[in-house]
Amino acid sequence: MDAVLRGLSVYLFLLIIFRISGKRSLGQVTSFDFVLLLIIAETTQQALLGDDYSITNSFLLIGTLVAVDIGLSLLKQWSPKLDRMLEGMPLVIVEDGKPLKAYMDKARVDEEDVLHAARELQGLERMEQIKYAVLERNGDITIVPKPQDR
Amino acid sequence: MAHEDWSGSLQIVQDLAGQRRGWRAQRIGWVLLAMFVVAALLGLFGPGPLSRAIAGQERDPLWAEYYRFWRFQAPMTLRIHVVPEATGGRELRIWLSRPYLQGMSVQHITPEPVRVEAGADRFTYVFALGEPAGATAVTFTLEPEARGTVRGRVGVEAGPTIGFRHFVYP
Repeated sequence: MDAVLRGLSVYLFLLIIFRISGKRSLGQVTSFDFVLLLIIAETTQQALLGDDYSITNSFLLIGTLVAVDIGLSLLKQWSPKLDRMLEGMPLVIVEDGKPLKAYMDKARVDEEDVLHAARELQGLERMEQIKYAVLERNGDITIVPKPQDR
Repeated sequence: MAHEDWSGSLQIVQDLAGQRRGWRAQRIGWVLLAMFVVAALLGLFGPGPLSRAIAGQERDPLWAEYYRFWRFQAPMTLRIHVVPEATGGRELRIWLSRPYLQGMSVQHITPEPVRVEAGADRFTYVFALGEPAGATAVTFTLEPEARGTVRGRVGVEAGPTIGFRHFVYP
């Protein structure tokens, strides 16, 4: 029972923490984000296992975590409202070359992030070349470039 | 729920009202997180000013330093201060209640007891006393093996007893 409760509580806590920290906070944009993610992983492991390093304990934990994950995905499928609440929806942050500052501030995305995505995904040089930039549900920024006659 | 299926020429379903709700919830979450961290610094979940406590008074013949709040399987210090009676022999006999000890894993005891006597409702730790016998303290390092409220009693044989309580977070 112990292992299942640990697994459940850690899963839920991480879900809440990740939701609170926003889509991009742990997006591994910088090396520090990566280190932070590693630290979180280590801490979680210790909390889940406690003193019990038996194979059974690890099976119980893995089974619980996967079961809860599947359960949650079924729940989200059944209730689109819950899905929206947990995962969010995409958000247009640049329209016709013009950044939508209010949304970008709220989402804590800056122009440099958009330009980075533009360079990486489309090889664009300037903000004016972007037709749409969308902050996707998973925190990635996707770019729709303006047609080439520019 | 504001659903826009199109933004200009882009086919996309946004939910701006939902986004705003989400951002507001996020900010509330940040406040709670900050409170959580501050509470931890203050000792609500372990060592800290909120948690450190004394059972009895510092001038009593028996008083103890303990922690009100602690965490499961984390090493905890319980320090029992005694003033041995002037008439007493070469032994200091301190007992702790059995239900309390059964919920703890005793890691070390400083000084080491000469022996431990098991009783019906208590375990009695017997320590050798040096002379002259003055005020001294015995330190137990314990790891809670039970969660929730844990009550304990400690006493000197044929002497005063005091009670204390921990709340052990899982």
